[in-house]
Amino acid sequence: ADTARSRLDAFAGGLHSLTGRFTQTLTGGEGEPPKTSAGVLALEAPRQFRWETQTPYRQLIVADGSRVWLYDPELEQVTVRVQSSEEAHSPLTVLTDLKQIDREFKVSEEGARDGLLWLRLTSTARDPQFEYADLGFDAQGLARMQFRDALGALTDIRFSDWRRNVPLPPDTFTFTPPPGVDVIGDLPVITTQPLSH
Amino acid sequence: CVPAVRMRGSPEDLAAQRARERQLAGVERWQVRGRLGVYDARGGGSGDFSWRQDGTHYEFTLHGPSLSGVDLRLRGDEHGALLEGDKRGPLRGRDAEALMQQALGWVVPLDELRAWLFGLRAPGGGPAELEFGADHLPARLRQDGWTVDYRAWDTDRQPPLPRKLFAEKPPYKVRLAIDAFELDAAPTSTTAGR
Repeated sequence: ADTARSRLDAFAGGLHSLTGRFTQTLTGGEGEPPKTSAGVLALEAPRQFRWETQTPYRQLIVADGSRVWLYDPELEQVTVRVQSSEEAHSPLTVLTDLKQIDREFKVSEEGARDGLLWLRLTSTARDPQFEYADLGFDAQGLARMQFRDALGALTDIRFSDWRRNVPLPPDTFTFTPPPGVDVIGDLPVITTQPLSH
Repeated sequence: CVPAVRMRGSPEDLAAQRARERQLAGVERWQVRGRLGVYDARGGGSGDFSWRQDGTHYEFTLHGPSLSGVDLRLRGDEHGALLEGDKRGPLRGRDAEALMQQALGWVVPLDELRAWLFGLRAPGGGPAELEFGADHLPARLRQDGWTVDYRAWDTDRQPPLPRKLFAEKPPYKVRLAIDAFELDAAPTSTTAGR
């Protein structure tokens, strides 16, 4: 039968790495206009991803497997956090390792909507960053992801140009803070670069 | 009372600043959207912010990147403030700055920023010192121990408004990159801070 789950399994089958484009729309509270951003992403099982926002501003999130780096060039600021297990429950890391989905989430069919078949992933984490994420699948695979934050703001991400298991440039999942940028948070201890003040 | 201000600049700088102050003095309602970065050696973070002011009512929302789970909404007026989005539930208090520090541990001088955002000195603050750039616009403002560097201005509008400001009061840093600045924006929702 053609279910969201069967489309997920077909999409995730034999998948090691993935690149594509995204358009993300964040709909906040009343009166707050939706905010749209777009860019490119790359994912590699089990825990590496790159989320590069290109418009309307530039922002880069890189998870190298041990840390998550967030670089905002306009603010000249990098925030770095250890890539913890809760991280594994963030909507992005769901995509990184779709084959592990049942280990981290309760998965349920949500039926058809907007021309897609939907799957709901309810987090099993003690204190998840998000209650659930909905994944929408078309015939080719994952087309859309939606989740709500603590304030009920809806994030709606549409994917396109998926490329499966293509060789990725070596530095895709590594990040080195550029000179003169403020770095905040759990820096790798081995770093030789002093904190810039 | 408007604090004393030492303005180091040419007569042209001072005239331009006074003209800006007069034009902006009557603005009761505005909305600013952009990105906020906060740093204090121990921690900090960044996110998309939207700040709406309607007289004394304000609504400030912050959405962290989809991973960080930093999402909060601060609403209030001169009577009190309410912060939603904290895992422990809604937080109420007299002042928004204290609530933000309680929820995120971040030090953000919201009251002064209300004026600094416009390139003006904070009316309720202590004595201020202004320095100007070649464009006769404030380049640096010092007040209440904070140094605010105006890194970019939107000069396609009258009066010009800041596009990027980096405020610092060691060990704290607050940085704002402004994407949209609307004057006389729509009124905010009813305040829940009372």
